[in-house]
Amino acid sequence: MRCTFCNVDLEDTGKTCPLCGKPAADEKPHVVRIANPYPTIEISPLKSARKTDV
Amino acid sequence: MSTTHNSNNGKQQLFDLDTSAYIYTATRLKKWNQVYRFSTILKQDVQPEILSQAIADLRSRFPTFYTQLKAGFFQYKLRTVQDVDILEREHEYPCRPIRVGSGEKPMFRVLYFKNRISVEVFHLVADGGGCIVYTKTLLARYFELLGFQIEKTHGVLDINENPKESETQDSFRKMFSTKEERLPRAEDAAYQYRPELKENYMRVISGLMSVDELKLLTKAKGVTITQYFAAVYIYAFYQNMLPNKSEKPIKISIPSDLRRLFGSETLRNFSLFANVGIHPKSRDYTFDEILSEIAPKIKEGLNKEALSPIASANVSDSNLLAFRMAPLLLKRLILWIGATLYGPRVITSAQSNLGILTVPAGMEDKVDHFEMMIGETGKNYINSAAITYNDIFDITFTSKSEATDIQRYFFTFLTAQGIKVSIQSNV
Repeated sequence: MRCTFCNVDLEDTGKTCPLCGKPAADEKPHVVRIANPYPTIEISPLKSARKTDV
Repeated sequence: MSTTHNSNNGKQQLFDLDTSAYIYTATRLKKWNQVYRFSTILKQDVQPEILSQAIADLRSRFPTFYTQLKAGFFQYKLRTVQDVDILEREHEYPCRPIRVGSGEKPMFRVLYFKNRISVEVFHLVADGGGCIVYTKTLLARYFELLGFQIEKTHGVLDINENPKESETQDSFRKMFSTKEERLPRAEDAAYQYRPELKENYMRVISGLMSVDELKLLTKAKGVTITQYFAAVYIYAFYQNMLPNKSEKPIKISIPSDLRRLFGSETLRNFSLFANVGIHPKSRDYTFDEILSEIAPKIKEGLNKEALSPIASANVSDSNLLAFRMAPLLLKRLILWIGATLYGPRVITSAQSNLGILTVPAGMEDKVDHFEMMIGETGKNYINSAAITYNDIFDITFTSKSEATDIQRYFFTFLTAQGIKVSIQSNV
């Protein structure tokens, strides 16, 4: 996937460009990179500032 | 350092804090402390049980990492801890605070998610240079447990050896004079970029590039990658100032690992920084004018001659009789005042470049690239850190805001110069 507005390669699973927020274009990236995914974070509305823990 | 028992007997050890570690005790809050993350992106998914064993196997070799903070009346110490159950599956935003001052877990954590291993460290324990050695050794042990042979070269330590004094020392005290040096500390407050914040949030945007392409670009300008990227960063703030055209200078803090300059093997903190920037009100700037102005400042600010007096002054200040005899509470107050006056307030942002990483031959085909990120620093809403491995230059921005003006300007500037950029993000 690519962003044709920012002219950057995006991850395969990317729906929008993280830089501009516009929809990703289904184009072959210029450079194929290994995926580096992050977990989906769900913050409870009741959760206050994060506590210190390990 | 005062050692109560040999670490190999599993008995508790005590270490003095290194000279720069004290500042992190003063600036920490109940719900925040200065944490950074160093990640390894592997070519295969992580096996957590094996990684957990590797973490346990490193404890006696890295005694200053497996420590908790112990408060006395006059000073802090680090006490070694036994609990090595610190591996977590990543489930929150990066660089959340770490428990300090109580419990038996150390002041760092190890996270995994799919093919990424991340070591998050409270900066009091070690700087990036120390963390890199720990992480490389952790990876080596992990791969050994998977059945691979890994040589103890390229910064990988042998976990069967005892820790060396040179690894646990405070290199500031060891290498710099304690003769009283007075240096002016006052510095202008910097422009503070103020987008709208989002509570309990961290936006991570990484840009991956070919370092060979970057070298061609920077060589044509006669500068280093560090100088070039600092200029692009300043230019990005310059073009996106909030509020418009602030009276204050745009300043970037650029840390420097002192180990290479002064020949230290310490695994603790041993770095200083140079703050460089421009005054946007003084004139209109093009990018090349910014580059011409700050490149020599970076070169001058990060050489031995510039950094030695600063290091000596820091050691001298910490040796002042009045400071040494002050109760811990007063020490923390003094350091807090110093950090408030001369810390995040005098910079717009930080940009750390850890340079080129290498690993032993047995690990090369298993690691895709490394990544560094700086946790939130209070007043500075966005920070960046870069590292190079095997032709992959990774620069990662961390931000407390959903706004991406700076990051977008930064990366589209590079693509306009013909650099191919791959973007990865956590949102």
